[in-house]
Amino acid sequence: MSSATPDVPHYPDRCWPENLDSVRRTDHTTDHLPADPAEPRDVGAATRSAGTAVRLRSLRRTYGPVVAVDGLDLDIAPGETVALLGPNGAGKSTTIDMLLGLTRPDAGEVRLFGRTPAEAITEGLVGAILQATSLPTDVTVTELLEMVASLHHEPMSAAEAMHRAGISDLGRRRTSRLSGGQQKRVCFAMALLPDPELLVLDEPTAGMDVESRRAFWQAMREQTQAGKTVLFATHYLAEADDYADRIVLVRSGAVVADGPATEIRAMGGGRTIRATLPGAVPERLCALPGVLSAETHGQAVVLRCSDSDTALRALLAAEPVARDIEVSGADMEDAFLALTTDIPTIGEEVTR
Amino acid sequence: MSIQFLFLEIRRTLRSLRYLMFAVVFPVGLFLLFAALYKDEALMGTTAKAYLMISMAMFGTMGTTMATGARVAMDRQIGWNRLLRLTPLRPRWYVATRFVNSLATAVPSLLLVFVAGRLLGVRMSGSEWTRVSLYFTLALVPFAVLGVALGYLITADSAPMVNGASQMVLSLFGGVWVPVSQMPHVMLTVGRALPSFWLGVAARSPLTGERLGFNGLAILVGWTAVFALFAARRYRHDAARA
Repeated sequence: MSSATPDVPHYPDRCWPENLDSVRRTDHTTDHLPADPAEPRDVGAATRSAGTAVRLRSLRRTYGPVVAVDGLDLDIAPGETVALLGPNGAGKSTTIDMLLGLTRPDAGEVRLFGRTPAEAITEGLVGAILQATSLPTDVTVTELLEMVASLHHEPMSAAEAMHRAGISDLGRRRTSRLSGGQQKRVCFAMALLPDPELLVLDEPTAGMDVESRRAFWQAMREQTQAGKTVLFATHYLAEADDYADRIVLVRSGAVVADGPATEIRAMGGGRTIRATLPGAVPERLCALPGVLSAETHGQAVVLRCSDSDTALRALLAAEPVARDIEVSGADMEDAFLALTTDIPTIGEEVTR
Repeated sequence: MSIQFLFLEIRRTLRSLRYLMFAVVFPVGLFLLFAALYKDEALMGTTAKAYLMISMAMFGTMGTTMATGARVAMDRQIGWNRLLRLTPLRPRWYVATRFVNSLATAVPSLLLVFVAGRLLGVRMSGSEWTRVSLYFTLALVPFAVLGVALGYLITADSAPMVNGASQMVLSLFGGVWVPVSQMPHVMLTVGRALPSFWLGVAARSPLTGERLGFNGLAILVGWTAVFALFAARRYRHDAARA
């Protein structure tokens, strides 16, 4: 440990993978796919991917020395609502850009309903809200939507898209007079124009106030109830928790966890054990069964656990002097932090 | 090409205050000012008024065509080009639409200066008006392409400065501020390599009897090709990175 350099996490990696695997093995797409157990997961056959709404294989993209996306795999079945959750810089937007064909991957494969992104877009299968985009000026919302509708092959009317996006009242407004949240909802109406099967939303509610955020998700829910597939990137944990059937957690450009919200929440160390333990050694605590990570602050010890019962028994056996023990439930935020932070421990033993 | 996209872009251009200033107010205003100064003098086989009318129309239309660059740059800055790529609109049609847009929005500027010229007593036969307008518009093609190319070179923030400077320099060598017949030798030499010089020659040719000739045509076509290749290359680079 003392030889660890600052830029290499000296925290033992084995503290997490076994737990992650258990969740990652839950392959939610296979339920909907034609059963073909002989076929390896990572070899692409067109027939198989045709039944998948989104299929990303070994996606990789670098920007100079920065590896934005590093071997990302993801399958989404038709009808699923999936949240792509991760901290800033985790590679969410780059992944979405590659998924939509806006950025060319350095390596890997993207298939949407078995097609290339360009083909899927041409056929009107995909609608998207992108991050950091704004609308052209000197134009009204209706004019803009009617123009974009004219670009599609079989669009719904601009009025219908506005109705579904809940912005019928904004039609005659100039785009320059809209708030950031209203612009996003115009983008939502634009995404609905081809009546797409797949909606891809990159931080759709950024810049919205609480009320428009709720209205947005209400409108989105109508889409998912109609059987649409939705993939949304967010760093709002609550949004992922509330609206997604399934959460895909990304860190450093790769998937670190993938499962329903309940499972992901449990992974956040399911529960946290706090105790007072003189002479605590984080490495030893971390090595206990059921413990994901250990933090020490003087005598105070915080253990994030995958299985708090096992961890507690092991703790008491290994450290009989531990006292003031508390076990508390974990939430999404704990999961998020546990799974997306590079160095989960900041105790003094570990840093020096 | 999408007609609706083109029409909306033209409407947007016509609505913008900046367009009104640079395409209409400046060229027409300057024409009125200069025309009052030169009265009825003769110049290069025609009248000073007719020469000035064409010159100010050149100034205005070079400005509007290059202003397309600012629009393309703005589309890129706000991510609108990315949103358009989520539609079946082919990227090359986006570029083509921008080109037509560029040329089309030059027309009002040209027409208004010509109307001002007619009202101030520029006399030409119907055939002369037609040929001047036609040659003028055709010789604007390299500038329309330059406008699109600039959009991939500059940022929305730097666009007004770059466009303004290009408009001034190109106008100078096109004989807008100094009549071609009074240009120093060095200026003529440089000017002959630039499209604006030949835009002037082509537009004035029905009046002055000058001919564009092989050289002039080659320079205009050459610059069109250079700007088009440049736009295509930058576009591809942009699309790969975007």
